[in-house]
Amino acid sequence: MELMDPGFNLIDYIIYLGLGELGIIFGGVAYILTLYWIGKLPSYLDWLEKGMKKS
Amino acid sequence: MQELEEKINVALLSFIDFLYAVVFGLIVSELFDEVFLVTNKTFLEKITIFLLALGVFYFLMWDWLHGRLLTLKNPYKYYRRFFIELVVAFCGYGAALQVTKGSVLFLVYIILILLLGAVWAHWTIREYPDSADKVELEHIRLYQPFQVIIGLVSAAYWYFFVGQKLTVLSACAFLIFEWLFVLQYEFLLERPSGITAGPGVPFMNKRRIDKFRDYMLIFIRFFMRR
Repeated sequence: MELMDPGFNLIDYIIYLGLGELGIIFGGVAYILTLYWIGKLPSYLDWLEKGMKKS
Repeated sequence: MQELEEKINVALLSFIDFLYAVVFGLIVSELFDEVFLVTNKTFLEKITIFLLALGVFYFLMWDWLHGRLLTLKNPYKYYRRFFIELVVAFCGYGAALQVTKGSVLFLVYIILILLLGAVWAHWTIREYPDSADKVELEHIRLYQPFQVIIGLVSAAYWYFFVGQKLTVLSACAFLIFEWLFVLQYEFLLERPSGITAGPGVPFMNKRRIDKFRDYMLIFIRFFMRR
């Protein structure tokens, strides 16, 4: 266990980092799209706006 | 009757607190026994485990704090959520143990914790259908399973293509992913200011997150009007 494994591949690592970050962001986008799909997005946005005005 | 229920809640929460104290204590103890005080590990190995333990410790603390804030506002009505929290604490210890062994399998425990969190939120909604925290609970119930799927893919890719052993670079990747996850989580929720909001996102000001959220709202509203 060092900075890099003996079979370390920089391209694999960069792909992994990029895909991981995109994946997490995609999780958020998928969440919002699902809310839209089940019809809960308007009430969610209202709740966010109301909370932001309060704070 | 209500007074008795309050007393039972206090007792159950104290038990959970005690269990978490043991888990956090074991993480620190394992860190010293397996990392700092051993001589058969290189400096880089020690740094790797230390970074990962730091990330897992922060994740568990963040998860426990938010769970606790929600439980204080929505106390237990049955024992279901209590037992789920017990299993989450066990998974937390499993994650810490795998980290100190330098195994990528710690991600499996993190995924389990996220999944159990979604189940916990589901039962809280069932117990409190009109809770003031319903949006946050629905957020946990819906958002965390998405992250579980991404976590599973990520863990499999890491295991098969990047390497089964943990390195400093993989520890850094985990910390980046964790920070991004917490940032997005807080970004999609509106929290009050102060201590009731929870620990928030490391190195990120709440005002800045609010500003970005404001832009997101304008953007989504624009598309919804079209």
